[in-house]
Amino acid sequence: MTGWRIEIALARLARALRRRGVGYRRRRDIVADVRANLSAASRDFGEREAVRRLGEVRTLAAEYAQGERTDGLRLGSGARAALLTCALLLGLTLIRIPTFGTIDAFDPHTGATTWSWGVWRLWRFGGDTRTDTLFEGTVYSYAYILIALLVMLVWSRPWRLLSRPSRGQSSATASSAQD
Amino acid sequence: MSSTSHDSQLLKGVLSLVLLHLLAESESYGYELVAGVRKLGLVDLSEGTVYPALSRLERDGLLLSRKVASTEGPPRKYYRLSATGNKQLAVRTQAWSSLVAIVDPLLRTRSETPA
Repeated sequence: MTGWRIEIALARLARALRRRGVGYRRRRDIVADVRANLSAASRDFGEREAVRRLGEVRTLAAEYAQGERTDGLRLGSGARAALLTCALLLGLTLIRIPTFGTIDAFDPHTGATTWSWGVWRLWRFGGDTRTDTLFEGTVYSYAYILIALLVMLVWSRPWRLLSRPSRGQSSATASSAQD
Repeated sequence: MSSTSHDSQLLKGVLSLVLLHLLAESESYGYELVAGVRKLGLVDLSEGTVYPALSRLERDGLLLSRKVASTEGPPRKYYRLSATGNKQLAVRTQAWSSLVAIVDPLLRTRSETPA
């Protein structure tokens, strides 16, 4: 069991590695390795000194990320997220929540027995106390396409392609640091 | 053992050679290697330089690793030389010896020349 100082340093290292685009599995391996080494060092010097000897976490992350294959555009993750979104949308059309006879009106002031919320031709959700329905929904085909595309776009993180150094630049940086 | 301060860039350049050499003797894990490197006199090399260097050597296929459970904490990652690592050690040792053979006489001449 490692102490809180080590765990804080490792959390900062994991965050710095993530910012540098190091993939999840690689990050996990690096953090596990550093945890074991810090744990061994803390037996000799104590936790505080072990963490101090590790140096600046951002520099360490930069050293680890040198020449590392970083995840820029994550098309696979984007496609998975889009599929999951479609499944969730489909789930919304399949569920119906009954009122169980507990609601007479959705608005006690107006006595409205129905409610509905729809956006253009994307979806329509609603309820009707006369049919004992608290919630039911319809999601139209446009929504599956548009929302799934939007989720895929966000999850793929295409903007990372803009901020990443080119292969030539990164290898030049790596080799200059090695020299 | 020497306590002379070394140029950090120079140290980084020879670090992989030193690590390959240490691991050719026996398999070891990160912190133990840091201690080994310091024992050689390279006290300026920090943990933060050695651990990523090991990671790079492994990624480049020069080292193999395995997790070994420890009674004193989390499982440790033990490194050992791969076949490629063995070949690289020979190549780099040869390159280093060749470099020293060229630079050392030059430096000696310079230091022996009266100002």
